[in-house]
Amino acid sequence: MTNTQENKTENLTLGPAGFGRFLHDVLVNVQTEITSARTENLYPKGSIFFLYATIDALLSSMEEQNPEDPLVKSLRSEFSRIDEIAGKPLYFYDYAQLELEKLSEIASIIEKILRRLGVMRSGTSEGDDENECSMMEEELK
Amino acid sequence: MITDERFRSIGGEKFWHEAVYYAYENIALSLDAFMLNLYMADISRLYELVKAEIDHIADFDGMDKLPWYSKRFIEGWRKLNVEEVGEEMVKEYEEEHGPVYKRLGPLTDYSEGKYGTLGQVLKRLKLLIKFGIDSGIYSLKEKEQPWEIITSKISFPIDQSLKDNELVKELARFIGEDREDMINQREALQ
Repeated sequence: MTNTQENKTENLTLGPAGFGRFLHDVLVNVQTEITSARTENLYPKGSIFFLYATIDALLSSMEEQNPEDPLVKSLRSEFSRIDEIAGKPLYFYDYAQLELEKLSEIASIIEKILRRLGVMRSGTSEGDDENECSMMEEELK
Repeated sequence: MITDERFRSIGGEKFWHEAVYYAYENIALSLDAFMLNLYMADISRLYELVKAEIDHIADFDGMDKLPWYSKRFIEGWRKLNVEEVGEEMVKEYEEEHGPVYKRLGPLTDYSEGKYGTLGQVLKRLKLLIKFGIDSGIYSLKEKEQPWEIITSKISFPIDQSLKDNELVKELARFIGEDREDMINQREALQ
């Protein structure tokens, strides 16, 4: 099964209000901040903190709806590794700043979670759908 | 995740998305690494959206009529305040001002509730985003796209005689409307 097919099956892609796309964009910003910090010696900004709170909210909502879902449990377990890496939950940071190596590790975990959720995906199923739809319309004319 | 009983239009998806993006810009992009306090107005647009959605039911029909996700939000907001300042102080506040969900700023702040630490802002943000997810406005699930199901069931070319079939015509109209919705949604987010 390809990634695209798998995501279609899960039906977890972009969704209303561009939530998936937004999470994807914020993660891209995190990566950019990491690169800037490495190459230009700048302090990373706080995108990772925003992403952390947002994904925590998403997992909490999923947990309440499906407390026994093994996927949700494993995602939560993965998410809790962030607190281990950071030394404490990011809610208890006074400054929106993490060491670069920790930031990179946390970004990897978040990317993994987003991929599992289908937010980050390979392929262009959206384009395929449109093509198929256009073909159908033509046939029905 | 989305069902009919749930709140699906918090001032329009576009408005919700803008409020979230505004919160993101303020919290993440403009955040100074050495800034201890944040202006609570950072997340105020998002907060006002959620509060208005709760208030319009709570104030007119009563708290009992609130949907489950609103009740959960109110519980979560109160619990957070209790964690920060203790049960007693929250009760004192409630006796004087009413439910604590009507206040954005933490009770630790005396400057009209405008300031909070990074953690206080993030924890509030989490509850606001969760409201969006629980209510259905902010979901990872796509809206139903019937052509995905249809195209997986049929193969081309289609029998041309079908084009005169009323049900097929209706189906074509349905697909067209759904595509329009999707295009409108995309435009709204641009």
